[in-house]
Amino acid sequence: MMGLVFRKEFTELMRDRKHLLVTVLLPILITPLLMVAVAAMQVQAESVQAERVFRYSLLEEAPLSGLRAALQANTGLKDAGSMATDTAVSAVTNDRLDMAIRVFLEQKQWVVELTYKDTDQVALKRQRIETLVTQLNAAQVSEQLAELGIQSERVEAFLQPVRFSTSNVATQQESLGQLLGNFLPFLIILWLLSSATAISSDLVAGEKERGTLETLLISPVPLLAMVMGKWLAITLSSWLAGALTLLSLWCSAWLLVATLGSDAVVELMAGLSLFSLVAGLVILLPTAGLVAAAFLASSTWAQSFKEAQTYASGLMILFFIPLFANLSGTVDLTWLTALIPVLNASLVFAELLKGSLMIGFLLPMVLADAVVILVILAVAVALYRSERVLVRQ
Amino acid sequence: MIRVESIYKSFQLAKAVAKKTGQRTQNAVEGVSFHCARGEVLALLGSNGAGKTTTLRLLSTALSVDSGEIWMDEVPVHRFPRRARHNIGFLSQSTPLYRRLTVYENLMFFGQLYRLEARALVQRIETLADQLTFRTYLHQKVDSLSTGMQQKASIARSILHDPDLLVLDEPTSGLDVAAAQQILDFVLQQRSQGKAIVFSTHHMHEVELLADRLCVIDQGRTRFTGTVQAAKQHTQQEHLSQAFLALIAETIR
Repeated sequence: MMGLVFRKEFTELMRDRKHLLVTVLLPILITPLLMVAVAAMQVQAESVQAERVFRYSLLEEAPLSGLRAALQANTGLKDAGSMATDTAVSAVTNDRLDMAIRVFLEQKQWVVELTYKDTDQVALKRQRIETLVTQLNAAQVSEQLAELGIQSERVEAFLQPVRFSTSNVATQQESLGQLLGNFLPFLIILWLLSSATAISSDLVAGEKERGTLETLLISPVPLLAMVMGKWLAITLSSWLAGALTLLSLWCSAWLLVATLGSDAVVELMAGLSLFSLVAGLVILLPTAGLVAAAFLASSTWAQSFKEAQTYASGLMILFFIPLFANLSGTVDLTWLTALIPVLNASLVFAELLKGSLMIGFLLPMVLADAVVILVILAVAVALYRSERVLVRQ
Repeated sequence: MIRVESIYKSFQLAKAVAKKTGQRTQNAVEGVSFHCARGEVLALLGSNGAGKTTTLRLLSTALSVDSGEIWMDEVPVHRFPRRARHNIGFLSQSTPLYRRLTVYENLMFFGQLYRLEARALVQRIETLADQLTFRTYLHQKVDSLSTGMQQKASIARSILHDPDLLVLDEPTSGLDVAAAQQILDFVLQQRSQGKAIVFSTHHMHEVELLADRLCVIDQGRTRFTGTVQAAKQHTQQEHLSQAFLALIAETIR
């Protein structure tokens, strides 16, 4: 009976174009396209910024030897002529000038004051002038120390007697795994959630509105079989959405590797091995089951399709909390976090991509998810047993 | 066949309504009683909101009674609804079929739920498709069918497992004259095969054509049970519609 209900539900879902769009087409096409587009836009933005020439105005209240020459020698900078400080600052504020540089002496120290307007995080304008000033500073220090008889090779040791040195032993796979592990589970589970939301509302609340649920409930099919059949259909469909997202990303990544062909990139992609893919697909299953159970119960509680979608939106936000926790990169996989649904899957995923997953964590993860699934399904069965499922208040 | 004895059903009111009215529940059915034998058609009449649909949903076991008894032969339906389900065919007002499946797939699904043997089920579907004249669109998706076609398929669905009791909630609602007539003919045919049929309708000519007896309910209470002729005599009216209005008016008085 359970198989019969599942087959019917799954056949119906596979014939629903909207469902196919959310579960199949968007994960396969949109996700990698979105990633490539964002990456391409980022690269282009950086390239455009790097090639930009900034117009500056230099006002030397106290001449600093070498500064004007260094500014003029830089191809990324163009002199707009000297102007009064107020005029220059006003011009920068009104976007008629990129930078105003004022040089003055304060307690026998030159101050290079830069006024600029930058809203992006790269702060390219500041970087360019800071580099120039740093180089100028180093040259001045060497010159002054040489006058005191300190040889140029000892300048660094003189200025910084204690140097801090580090050596990071994390492999590139681990570093990339951390980065991908924070981001990929979010993207994959997001599609899984989207699919479950759409399906569950239709499969339960939608059936209530169309009257088919009543027909099903007065048939001799046992309630448990009916609930399990519906749960399996939602689980499989939402898992499919997550799995296709993962598969699509995996294929796109390896396509990039094949196109670029560099050894460094190949090493970086080691975290995306075939084993990782298969393991990732398996790890998604308990999460899909849990999400399906939660959405099934909420849709059963809802008295209309619209109400079911409202509850589903609330549940989505609830599921976002563990996803954001992993996205922040501040939570580690421990015996405790392995017991927290959704968070456990995203953390296990991250460890898998880093190549440092301890298989032992899978057991508490699966057990915790299974317990939560059973509790939610028991609630769903109880709801079906009550007349609330058929009667609006 | 089916015996309904003083059944009661109330529904919980929404909090906002309950606050306004000071009542937590509303009675939908209050002591309805009637019976229907094999080979008999009983028409359940009443104005909108009288409690007809709730009564039929109680008969179908979709809802359970608060008090009172429903007996199907020797089976207490009110206590063991699952035991009775195999023998009840219920058609609700909403033509409940899965719209993305074909008519055939719908019927196969429901037939399998009733554990009908595969070959017998296919044969049964074909027989019903011929009787209700929908063989030509048996393999079309329900979504693409007209209301009349969907209603015929729904009736086939409700009678697929050959139940002894048929419960039909306004089976000709929204249908054109030809489609409605085909369904009425089918009901007569089922009666001749010894089925007990309880149906609700607002069309008095259907009652005169089909019903052996009628049960008029108003505000959840039984107002009259008897034959069409008895209803006319009781109210001293020539036409059934006038008799019905007179019975309702008695309640108002």
